[in-house]
Amino acid sequence: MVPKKPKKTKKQHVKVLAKIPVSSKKLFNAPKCANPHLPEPCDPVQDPGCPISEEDGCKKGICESGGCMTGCEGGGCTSSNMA
Amino acid sequence: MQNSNIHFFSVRGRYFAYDINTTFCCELDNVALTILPELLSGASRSLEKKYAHVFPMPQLHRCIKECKELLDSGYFGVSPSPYKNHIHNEVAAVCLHIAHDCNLSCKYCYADAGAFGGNRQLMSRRIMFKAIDFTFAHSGDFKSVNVGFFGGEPLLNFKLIPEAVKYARNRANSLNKKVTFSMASNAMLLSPSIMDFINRERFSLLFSLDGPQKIHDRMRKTKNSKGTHTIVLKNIQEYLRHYANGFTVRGTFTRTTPHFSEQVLFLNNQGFKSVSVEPAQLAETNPHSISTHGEITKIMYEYDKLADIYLERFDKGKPIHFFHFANPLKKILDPRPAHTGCGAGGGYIAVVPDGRIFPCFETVPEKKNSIGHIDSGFNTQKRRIFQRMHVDAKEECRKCWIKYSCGGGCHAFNIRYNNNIKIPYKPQCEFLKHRFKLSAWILSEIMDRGENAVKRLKKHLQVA
Repeated sequence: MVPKKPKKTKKQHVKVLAKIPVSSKKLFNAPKCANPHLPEPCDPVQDPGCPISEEDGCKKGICESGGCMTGCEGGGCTSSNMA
Repeated sequence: MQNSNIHFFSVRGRYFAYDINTTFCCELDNVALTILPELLSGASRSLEKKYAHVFPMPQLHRCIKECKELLDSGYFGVSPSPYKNHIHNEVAAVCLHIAHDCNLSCKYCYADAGAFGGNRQLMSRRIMFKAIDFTFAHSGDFKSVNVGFFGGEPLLNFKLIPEAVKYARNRANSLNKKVTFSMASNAMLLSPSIMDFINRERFSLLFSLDGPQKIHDRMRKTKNSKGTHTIVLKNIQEYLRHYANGFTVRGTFTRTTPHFSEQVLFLNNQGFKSVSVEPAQLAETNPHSISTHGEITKIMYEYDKLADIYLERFDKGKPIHFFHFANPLKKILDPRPAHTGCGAGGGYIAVVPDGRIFPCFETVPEKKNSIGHIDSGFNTQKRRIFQRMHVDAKEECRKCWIKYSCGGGCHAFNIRYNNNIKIPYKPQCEFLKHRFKLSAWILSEIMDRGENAVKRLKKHLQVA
């Protein structure tokens, strides 16, 4: 199906590209990540090296910041492609 | 508030500002491009007066308001607390090199056609079981463990794979954990019974196919120098026809096959839903490496071309799958700074046929990268080097604007090509930055098409 002709949006001076509306959630006040693998609960933003918890979207505890094997420049990691 | 935390860049007539610390990106118009740096440097008063002769007053007022909202949001122009580099000792995934041998002899192979600079050998049953035991024993509180089968070509040792699956499932059950499986294969040996098995066991799969026959057969040949495209494509299509689409098809481009948009389109046109086409990462001396400034420029142009195709196909309702745009697009949509590029040596390990442990499969060709042996355990000191190697530990990365989106690049490339884990492999950096910029441009273009277009993009990228 070919989509309809794009609608023009209101002209902005600053266009935020993140899906989170600027005013809705402050990045540095993000909820604490209750990851059990860390010595203490960590902040996923300030300590983003931690594996994000399963509840937070990580399916394996090894992907993205916690251990994505993107050594071959991305899609080379089979484990990170798990459904 | 320091201006140095914000990186400004332009792509195809669009201006962007990127917060280095939060990885938050926004597009600015001509007015905001003047006002935002002023506000970032602390000037908040008399901006109206200063720029009254430059911009119409209503625009100026609105722009100052929008910029202030951005700066008040907490996403932009903020200074994060110092990063605490936690050391993760638990292992969540093991990459079993069950075959240090391959039935192909690809020209760009980093692994010496499967031998990894050593003897061609298959992993024994004893080492395989012991590696699985080792992984579970070090999995700590992880509720799920991944066992990956890797080579060379893992299907050369397929007879052990069902045993490994059964063994790992039993271990997982006894520990009340889950286990998942993955495999990277050249797809040459995919028989109906193997397809049936890997589908039944819900393997996460990666098949190697370089796209059109003329490109694939130029690089991916049998030991007898015969092309493999016909068999590989047929096998992957068989798998797609009879089983799931939950696999990735990965292609490689080189100095001698640089027009990779053709490869991306070919793979998309086969109906594959997860496609990655990546540069061969080779030493400068290798005839297929992409390392000179001219070659890198040529590749940049190809990414540019692909960005146009991405939008064109998106507008036609037939969006393409391309990992290296999908990944940065997701990162821009959902900023999440990363201090490491991967968990090599931490949550992830690789075990080779003689039982040595490496941080990941990519580090295996260099013997010095070994971080232990499954019989004697981890060499804690050597493992720590990888575990501690976050982006701020690398001097050059510390100065780089994209550091927290990248996480510091690939340890293995740094060691292999620069003989220093802390010195980044430059072609990878250049490509990463270019793709990020193009992805910002793509997203901005799509946002201009309205909310429905953005929803379609998120659905395509599987972003909530």
